[in-house]
Amino acid sequence: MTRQQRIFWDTIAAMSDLGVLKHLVVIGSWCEHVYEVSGCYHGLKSNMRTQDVDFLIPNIRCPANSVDLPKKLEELGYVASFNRANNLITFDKDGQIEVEFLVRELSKGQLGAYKVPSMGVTAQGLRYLDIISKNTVALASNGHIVNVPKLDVYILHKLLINSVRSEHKAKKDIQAIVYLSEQLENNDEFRKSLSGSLKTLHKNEIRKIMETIEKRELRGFFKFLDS
Amino acid sequence: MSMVYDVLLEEKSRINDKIALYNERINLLPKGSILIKTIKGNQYNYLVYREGKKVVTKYIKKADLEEVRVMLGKRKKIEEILRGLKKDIKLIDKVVKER
Repeated sequence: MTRQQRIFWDTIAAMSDLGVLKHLVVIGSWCEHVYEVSGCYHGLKSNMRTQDVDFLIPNIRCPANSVDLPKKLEELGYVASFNRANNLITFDKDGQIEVEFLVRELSKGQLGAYKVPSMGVTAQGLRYLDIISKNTVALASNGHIVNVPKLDVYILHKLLINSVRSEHKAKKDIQAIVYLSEQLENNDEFRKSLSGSLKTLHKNEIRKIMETIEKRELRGFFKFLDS
Repeated sequence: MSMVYDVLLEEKSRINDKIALYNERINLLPKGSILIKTIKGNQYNYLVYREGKKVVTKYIKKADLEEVRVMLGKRKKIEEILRGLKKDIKLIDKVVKER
């Protein structure tokens, strides 16, 4: 285990001790690490991980009894940094891991970060997180129960947001999608699950996903969606 | 420096895993390009590719044309990613060597 991975799992352990882990969802590239460690997708290997560890807060009113998450993270050696422009607080540990919290941006949205008093943190509001929030799975990894998006939904989400990402990130996402889908090429359950999840989406979301598949020449990787 | 070094080595190992998987997959995909010939007013599709010094031309049934086209696209995508990964490996090797 690398130092970065150790810090990640120490953070997960601290959140579990505090009782907030069950109210969080690991999203972004680190959830691939959780899939890998959990072993639920036999032999699946993750893509490159970034420094940023993103936690989605599906419900900002949970937990019912407030906890001091920043204090716990500072005890672990994290340094909080406050961005005056958007009131967002992020937590950095030794330049290896940067923890950030996200919430679903609904309706008109708002300027600046959202306050999450139940955890004592602020979170950035982002669009298109609804699909993830509604499709999570709790995986037993490294002695903890960690909430992550279902793998098929993780891929669909990457396809969905591809057009709004910067070109560099969009290309990186496509490479990640290709690597995951190639590893799962013969996994019928995964294919069924992805087709099923796609059907539950709004027609505009389906259109955006299909447009990305066409634009990025991914038809060969998602041919099973035609049938 | 050692943190960056560790990250690079971990990344190199991950890239090598990817290269191995893609090389395995690419062998299962058709290579070459589609050639359309018009003979006596009818269009016929062929897959044209090189095998050593020889150029091989294989007829593609109309029913299989779309499938072949999609699979050639898939191969092209994987080849593009492989080129990028090989460049990354070279870059990592260079940085690690300099250290």
